[in-house]
Amino acid sequence: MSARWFFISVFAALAVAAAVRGLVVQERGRAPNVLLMTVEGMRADAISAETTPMLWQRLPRAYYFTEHRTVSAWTASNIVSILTGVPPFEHGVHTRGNSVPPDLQVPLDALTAAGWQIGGLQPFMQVNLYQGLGLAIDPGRDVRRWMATRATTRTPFFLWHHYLDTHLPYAPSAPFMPDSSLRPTDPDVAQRISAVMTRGAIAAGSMAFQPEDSLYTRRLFDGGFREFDAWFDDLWQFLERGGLDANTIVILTADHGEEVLERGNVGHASTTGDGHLHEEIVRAPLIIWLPQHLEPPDLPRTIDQMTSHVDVMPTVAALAGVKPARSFRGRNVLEPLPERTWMGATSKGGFVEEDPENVEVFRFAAVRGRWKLHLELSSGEPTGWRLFDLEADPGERVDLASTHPEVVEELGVPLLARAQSMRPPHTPEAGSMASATVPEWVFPDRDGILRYDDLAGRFRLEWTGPEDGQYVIEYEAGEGESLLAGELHATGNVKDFGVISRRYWNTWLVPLRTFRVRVSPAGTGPFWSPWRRLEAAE
Amino acid sequence: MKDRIRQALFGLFILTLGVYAYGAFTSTLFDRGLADKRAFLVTASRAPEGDPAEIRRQAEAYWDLYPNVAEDEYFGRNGKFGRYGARYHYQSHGRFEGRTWPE
Repeated sequence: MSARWFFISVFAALAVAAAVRGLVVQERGRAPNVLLMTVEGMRADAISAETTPMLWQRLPRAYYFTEHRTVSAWTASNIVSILTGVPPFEHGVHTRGNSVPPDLQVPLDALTAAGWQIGGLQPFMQVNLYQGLGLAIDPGRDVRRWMATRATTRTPFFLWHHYLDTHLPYAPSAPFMPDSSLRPTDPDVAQRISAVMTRGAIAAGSMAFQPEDSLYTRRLFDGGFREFDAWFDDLWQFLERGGLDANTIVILTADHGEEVLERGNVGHASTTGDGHLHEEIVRAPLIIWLPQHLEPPDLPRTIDQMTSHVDVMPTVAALAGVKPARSFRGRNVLEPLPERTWMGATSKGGFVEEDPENVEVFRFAAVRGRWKLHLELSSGEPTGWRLFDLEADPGERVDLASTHPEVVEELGVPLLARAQSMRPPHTPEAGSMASATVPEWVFPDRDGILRYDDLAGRFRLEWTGPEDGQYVIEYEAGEGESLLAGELHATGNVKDFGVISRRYWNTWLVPLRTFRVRVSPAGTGPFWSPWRRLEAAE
Repeated sequence: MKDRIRQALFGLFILTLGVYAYGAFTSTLFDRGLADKRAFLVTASRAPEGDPAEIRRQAEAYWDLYPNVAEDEYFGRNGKFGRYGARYHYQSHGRFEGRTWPE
């Protein structure tokens, strides 16, 4: 072959390779992003043309599931179900300190393996409850910047963001407060309303709410959602201006609903300590916006088939083209679903259970067609059945259990079986890495000045804990504009940076002067050691 | 034989040219709207984030002001929310309890 042909062939091969790579990059850019937004306490009737007009005007482009239900009465248990596709009966997250068992297949891991970056950017996501779900938690990062950074590098992302400002106390910002002239003037009512506006939790029975409290309490609750609507509009404009709406699946739902005095309380399991699964708690919207190229043909925009939180991840997996997890108990909601029975479960106290090691009372419910059955188990034994006809009695006021025993049996037998075989709360075992005691610093053994001679030529950090454990070290070095902050990972209870010279120490570390480091076992907790504060000196 | 190779290479050349042309017409080079969106995202990705030193300074001041918060398992100095605990406490509890945020 002549040299000319050789060069032509090489040039052709390079040109084709570059073109193919370009196509691959373009295709990768088409892998849809997922923005999962959960809104605290967004019960089904919290959104409307009046309360959330900006959201409402974007509904015609969305798929709106009007018969959606959460699966528990408090946040973490529901979020874990959303992110795993597994109901509380199987995931074992029933109160604070719990986390998913290590043998549970985590769908976010499959997305990570397929090239998605998974994010959770809020500090509260660092607690045990959200560990082991496949979330890469990077607290304090700005949501928009995080999404924009990934979009500019064509890296598909899955971001979970939880809107928290609708949680008790109901104290929306001034523009969203109800008209002050409507505020009750009766001193007793005003005192109770003041509690709703200032307290993050109001335990059941601690305050004798009256029917006349309802109207203004609801106005305050709605004010929170009007404020959410403005936030949502702002975020949506960001998505549109950056073109992210063309390639992002946006999922909007609630963690759970909220009781606004329907049964004498305000809040949900973790604020009242008296969680239940009545409709105001479990009915929530599920709204999905899809990029145009993913919209299924002929699917109506408003869908009244029964869906639940365990359907969210199976739907995401189908849209992302990722193999569904074997553990999924839900279905892709964009396909026709068979007639289903919904089941939910909650610990009575949610996050605020009196004794997280011994949760005594669990509450369960099942819905099939028009019937809804409630069951309570105390120490594993049934203590009560209640049956409601949701068509005739949507507020669940008239218990029909005694007059319809055949329905109680039909719904109750499978519900009791699931309840009694429910996976117990999974709390990391004492002594394991999961609940490891907080590490103590071994070296450096005290705060203060650290000189090169103190290092004996080798820079290392050492702490107490299992020698084969995985750890994460958080560090901050320097001050002001020169501050460096980040995380390091270590296997074993020593992080050895190796031999460093005096010159290196003096040139690079001494100028930073101040350091602080802390360490925690990785993957759980976190169980941070105290900060070790150091000052590097020659 | 040589002609066939030449024809195949020519076909490949045209195909590659087509791919490049498609790429160019669907890129920021020719699509003004896309270019604007791209520029918006680039700007957003470079937006300044909270200064960690300032976050820490404010947190320390809040903890100094409210020692009970400083001791808290979640919101405190050695709490699970780290340097964000103080701000998080203020936003979710403190402001409703009449506490003040040190600016």
